[in-house]
Amino acid sequence: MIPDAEAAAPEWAERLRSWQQGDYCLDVRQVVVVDGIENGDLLPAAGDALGFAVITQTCDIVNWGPAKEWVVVAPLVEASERLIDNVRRGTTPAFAPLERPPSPEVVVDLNQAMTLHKSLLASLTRVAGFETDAARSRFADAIGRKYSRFAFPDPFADNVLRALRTKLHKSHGKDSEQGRTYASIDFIRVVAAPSWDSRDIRVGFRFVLAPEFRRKEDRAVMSGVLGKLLAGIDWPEGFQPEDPPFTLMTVEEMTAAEWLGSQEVDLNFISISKPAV
Amino acid sequence: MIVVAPDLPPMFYPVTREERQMGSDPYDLAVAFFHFARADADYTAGRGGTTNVPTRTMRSAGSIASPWRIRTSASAIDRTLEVAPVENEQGQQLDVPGQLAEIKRLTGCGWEQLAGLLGCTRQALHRWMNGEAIADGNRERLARLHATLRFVDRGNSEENRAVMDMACDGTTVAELLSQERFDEVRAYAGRGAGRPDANWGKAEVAAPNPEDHWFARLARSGGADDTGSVRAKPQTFKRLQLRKG
Repeated sequence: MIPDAEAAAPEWAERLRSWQQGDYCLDVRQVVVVDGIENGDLLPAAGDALGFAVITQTCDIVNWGPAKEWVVVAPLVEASERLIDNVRRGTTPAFAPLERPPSPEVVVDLNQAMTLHKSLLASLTRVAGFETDAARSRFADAIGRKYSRFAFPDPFADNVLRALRTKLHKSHGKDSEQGRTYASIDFIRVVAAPSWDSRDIRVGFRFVLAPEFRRKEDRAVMSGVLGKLLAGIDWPEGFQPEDPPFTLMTVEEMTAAEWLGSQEVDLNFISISKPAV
Repeated sequence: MIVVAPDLPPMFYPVTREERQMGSDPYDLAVAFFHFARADADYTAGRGGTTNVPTRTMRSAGSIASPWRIRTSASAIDRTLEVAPVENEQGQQLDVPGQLAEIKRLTGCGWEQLAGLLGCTRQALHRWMNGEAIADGNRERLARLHATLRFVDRGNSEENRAVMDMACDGTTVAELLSQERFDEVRAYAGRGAGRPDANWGKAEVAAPNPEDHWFARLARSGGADDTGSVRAKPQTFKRLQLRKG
């Protein structure tokens, strides 16, 4: 029987206070997925897992009341060596690492989230997934990236962003002008005019600089490096670069409107529609 | 950088930082500027003689929160105006991109409009933003435009735009700015209150972990991206009975 969320907070609700996003439980070793529909009914299945981690935001775990009865959890899975490598390098948005996993090869599989009633969570054994706020914050970033990163149009991601990623990777020597330039850029944002839904789209890049004390290269040199980076990109039909194609700015120089009117590009997590040839 | 303001009326000279902080009635400031600017125009035109300044303004003129003070004569040194560097609200000195960005924030202008105010092209502005060289004349003009807009800043771009649309003898403040008639703008528009949050405490920003920097992660990736079939170890599934109710 599902507890009435309209009633006063039950005794067990107090136990929710100890749970935080990224904490996990090893008591339950299944994850429920739906893999079919029969006569309008779902066909659920249970997949094996090593436990689950809570991905609901911490404030939303603690609150109890109508429409606040559920938490979302994601299974702990054993990763292959290559996957562990990718998760640590930060090149896959589908899995997130814990700071204190039950064993080194265990990661959180964000692809298979499931919903759990809070009364169940309160009855289970909590294990802290994190020791530091910084690591817990990175876990939150991973969840955000998985579920809310901007979906660029496929032709743009497949051609322009992938080409940029390849060019950047080839020139990542830390002591080169290129290496110093890229290390001095905190964010890459793109603007589409009139919009990403248009037939003919003009795209401009905003390279957002690190504060001056963290910058490793002169602004004019960086401009030259970035000009060369963007030159020679084969733009797909329907897309063309703005004139000039990019601008350098600090967060102080950027207006809120410019921030809101642009989308962040994380070249480590571009959603490319087709595998590399 | 110190530059000489060639169009500075000879009756004005800069006040010190301490004098600027004394503060006064903005109305007096505006009226005083307007009348003394007119008086200077008479002087330049050879009409000389008496200035028609209201008594109220004359009384407060010595303590007004203006960057200028009225005097009867001025040497070339007195007319020297420090226009850059200017500090932002965090106490950092503003370079050319910083000044351009603040002008955009103060006025709400787009790049095209800003280029109009500075008598240059939009492309030139982007080059300056990107750290490319700027001619001394343009740098000086930018610094003086920036200083003037800071002076008249009402605290938000909408009110600042309204000031720029005000007309003085048939010429709008925006036109005066684009004609580099900065003293007249100061005289006509007067000193603004600035942003209400200018004296708020400064929030500490945590230093990011260098290992989390996107380029550091890209360098570690070995060229791999998210398109490969990298999976967790295989799972087994068993059918569950859906409980209705």
